[in-house]
Amino acid sequence: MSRIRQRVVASAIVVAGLMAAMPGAEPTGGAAVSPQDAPQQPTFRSGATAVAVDVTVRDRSRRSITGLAATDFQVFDNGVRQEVAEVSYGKLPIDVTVALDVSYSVTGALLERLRRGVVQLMGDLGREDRLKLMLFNMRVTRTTDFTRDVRSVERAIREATAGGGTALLDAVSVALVSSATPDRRQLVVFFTDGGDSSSITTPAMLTAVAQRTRATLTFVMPGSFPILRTAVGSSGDVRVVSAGVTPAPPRPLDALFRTLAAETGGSILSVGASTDLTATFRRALEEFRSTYVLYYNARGVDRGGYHAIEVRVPREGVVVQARRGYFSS
Amino acid sequence: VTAGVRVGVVLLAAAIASLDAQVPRPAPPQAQFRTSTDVVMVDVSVRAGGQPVASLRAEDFVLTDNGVRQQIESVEAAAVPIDVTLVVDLSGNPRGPWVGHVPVSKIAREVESELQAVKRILRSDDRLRVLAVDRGVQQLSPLLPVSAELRLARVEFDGLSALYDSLATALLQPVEPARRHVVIARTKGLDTISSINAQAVRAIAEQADALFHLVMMETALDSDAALSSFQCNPTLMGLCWPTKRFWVPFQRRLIGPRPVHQLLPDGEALAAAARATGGDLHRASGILEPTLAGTLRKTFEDFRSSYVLRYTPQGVSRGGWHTIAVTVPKSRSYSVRARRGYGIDEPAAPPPPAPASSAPPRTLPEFTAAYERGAYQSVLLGLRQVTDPVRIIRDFEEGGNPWPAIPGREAAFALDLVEPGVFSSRNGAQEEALRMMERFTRLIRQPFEPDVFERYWHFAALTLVEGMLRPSLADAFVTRALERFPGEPRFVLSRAIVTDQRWVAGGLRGAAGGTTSPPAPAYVESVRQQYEAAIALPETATEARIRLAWFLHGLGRHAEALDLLERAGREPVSELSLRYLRQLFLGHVLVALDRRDEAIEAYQRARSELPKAQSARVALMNAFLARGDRDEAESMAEQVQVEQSAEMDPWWMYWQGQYRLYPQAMGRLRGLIR
Repeated sequence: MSRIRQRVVASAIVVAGLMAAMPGAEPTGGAAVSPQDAPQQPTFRSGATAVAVDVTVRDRSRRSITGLAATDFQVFDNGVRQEVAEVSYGKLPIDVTVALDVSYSVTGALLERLRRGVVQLMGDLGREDRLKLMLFNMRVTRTTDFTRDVRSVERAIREATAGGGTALLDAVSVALVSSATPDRRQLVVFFTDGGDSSSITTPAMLTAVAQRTRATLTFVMPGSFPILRTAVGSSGDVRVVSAGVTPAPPRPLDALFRTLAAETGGSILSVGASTDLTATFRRALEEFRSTYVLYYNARGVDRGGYHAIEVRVPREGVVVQARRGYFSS
Repeated sequence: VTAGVRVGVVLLAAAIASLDAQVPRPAPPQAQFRTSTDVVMVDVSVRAGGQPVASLRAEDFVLTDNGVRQQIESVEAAAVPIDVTLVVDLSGNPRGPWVGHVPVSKIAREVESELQAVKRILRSDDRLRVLAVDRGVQQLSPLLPVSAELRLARVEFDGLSALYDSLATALLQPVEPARRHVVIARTKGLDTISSINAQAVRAIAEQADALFHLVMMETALDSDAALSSFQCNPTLMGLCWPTKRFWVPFQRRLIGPRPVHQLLPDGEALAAAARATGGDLHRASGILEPTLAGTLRKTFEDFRSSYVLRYTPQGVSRGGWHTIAVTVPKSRSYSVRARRGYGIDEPAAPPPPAPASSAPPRTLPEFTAAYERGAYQSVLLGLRQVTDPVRIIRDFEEGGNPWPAIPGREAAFALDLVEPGVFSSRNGAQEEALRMMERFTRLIRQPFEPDVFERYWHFAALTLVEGMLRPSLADAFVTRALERFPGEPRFVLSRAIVTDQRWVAGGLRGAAGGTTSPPAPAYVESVRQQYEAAIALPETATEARIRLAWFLHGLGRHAEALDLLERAGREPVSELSLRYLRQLFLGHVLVALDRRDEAIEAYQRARSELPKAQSARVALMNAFLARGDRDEAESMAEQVQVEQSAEMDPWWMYWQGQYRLYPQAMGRLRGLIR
């Protein structure tokens, strides 16, 4: 294990910051994570902060660009160019947290589509990857801890009862803060209509939480709603005259969702009224999987406070996506 | 010619309540007489050639009850003291147009003058009460000895008329055993907003223990009719309330035949109502209209010369309607008048025993039966499973009052029934629920002074509408409650909460903060003033301070919020949820003031109040993370997801105002009707 990777492992715990990763670490299998699973923590070296940052590189057609080396990246920490010590691609196992909104607004056939989507997602996971299921309305519940057992996840979704208010911001905050195994990458996928009625967490607090945690946050949200025009026939029967969709109206928290996705290097995926959620979840996983992890020692900048990160790949027609920064205490 | 019947008033109350229509009800009087038998007293007037016949004895009368001759136990000819209820009609626009200046003082003087004339007729042991027909039933003067100084409490005009409600109220006044009750009502016969109709008044009169005389104000009606035809013209003013009237107005002419005011069906019903009590409908004769004093004078003469026959019904079924016939056989020339009968409602048969199944009720009859058994928890459980709240509400309204003999129970049950609709997402369910609640706000209205049942009913209703988080719909309910109970602390607080809700319900503010659009200064000031009104009342001071603090915190006025929360902390607070919220909010305010350590202490105090409440754990988790205590934060996150409480977090119900108190309010209501 290289020294810098060791230091990054420490950074996830000591610095209360960033994404830690340890390529080549032994997989923990399908069992739930336990404290014993974490590797031994190396000593943090003073004078420099070890940082790992997830970076997605695509062309204009959103196809992932692979095969890049450390020298292909330019990384700026608070505006100061940093030397990329190491790059890994697709080697670390992934922990996916799927959080489903089961308030009044997500019920019936939609829940069934979600079940199918999550089951397929588990099928798409790699051999070392795991999935955790959270359900939330106003309560935030971890229904299934990290596992590879499809049946337990499927059963949990089938048994979900919709109802109540929505504590979306609280759920996001809890999902981000939940302890993460240092040698695994963290993807949190939230399926929600974007409404919130019961959170004690404010948008400002949640943004701060996103800056202090390491998971990548992706929202899957309705982008359109069905419209059915009906008419009553002479015999009293109701028939559909026309069907269509209408764009979802702006949500009060849309700006916050964009901020959170940007801060964590995630995205917002819109789904239509009849969109195949299987494909949506698969896309979220593939985007996350095709991510480089860059490692560097932050030098020439103050250690504490918020660090803005900028990652460039100086090539024509390349789109780079990375989290905006991290918070170091 | 006068007649009257007095039956045990317990029976009377039951009979009155059996009416399908809802009427304002007086406080239940004490029973006069009845244990296992009912004693009936009948006022009988006997005249010969227009002059009263004196010196008749029991054996001179023949009295049948449902065709069965009865043994008359006693005949009294002594003058019995009377209670007179005068009903004056101030509705519409006496003596002037609806628009412009209403000569209140002039009209008040006229009424007072008329009342003085009435008082001069009465004896020293008689008593007088004055009601007014207006938007509601006004009591201008309570029942007072005639020697007492008459002072009209208030005389107000706003153009609407609750005539039928007013007449029912007058007829339903309790009567003491040794007194008789006379109701003389003078009216223009217009009704705009009563909760009952003329047929209901007639049904009440038939069973009331009062002599009822009705005086028609024909001239006033003609004036109003002419004015209305002008006002209702849409090209002119277009001011027209849908109005029922009981006779056809006719333009009075100075020369020519006497105007004819033909009675409409409602008028016929009221005339029948008066006659059923032994009274009459008094109309204009020539160019003279009857006055209150003149009508009383005639009535009073009848009283002085009337007999009171007393008997215990024998050989007839107790329940149901009893037709009375009184004759004096010894002279066919005598004119004998007595009331036509009385009604007794037998107590309802006991409800069938509860079914063996413990399954919660599903249909309205099952809900009704369970409610009647007092199985309230079962009712609530069943109502939570209702899938079509609109159907339940409509079935209930179409079915009529299931407990006519138990005032208030229907109104309390209605609140239970609307709850699923209030919180339903089905199309039209909330509107249907609110419509029924709105109807009951009128039906529960006590005729004179609001009583404790009405107070708790309004409170329970307000908790429901606050819980809806639709402030625009809740406003009307708050206004009505405050009209009835000005200054009632919980209602004052409700006003502030509903106004406060506008900000969050409009999506302009997140549940815990985050403003997309700052509110207008006028709105902010309005909320602040309304909360301060509630702070001035000891019962609601603490909660109002906490809520105002949260409102100001949302505006970024953290120092003011902190001051309010600290003040609230100096007051003893018995309610756990308020103690919890105070600490939770204090934590947020301290975070905003960058006093993170103190904030964590506040959140921890909130946790000590409710260890498993999610909101304090999440707040603490966020605060730990911000301070750099990642392990503590992760521990909190774990607890949130795994260790949960079945109880509601007070924060989750914060924006629903006082809805948390709905169960207690309903429990109190049920206690009042038990």
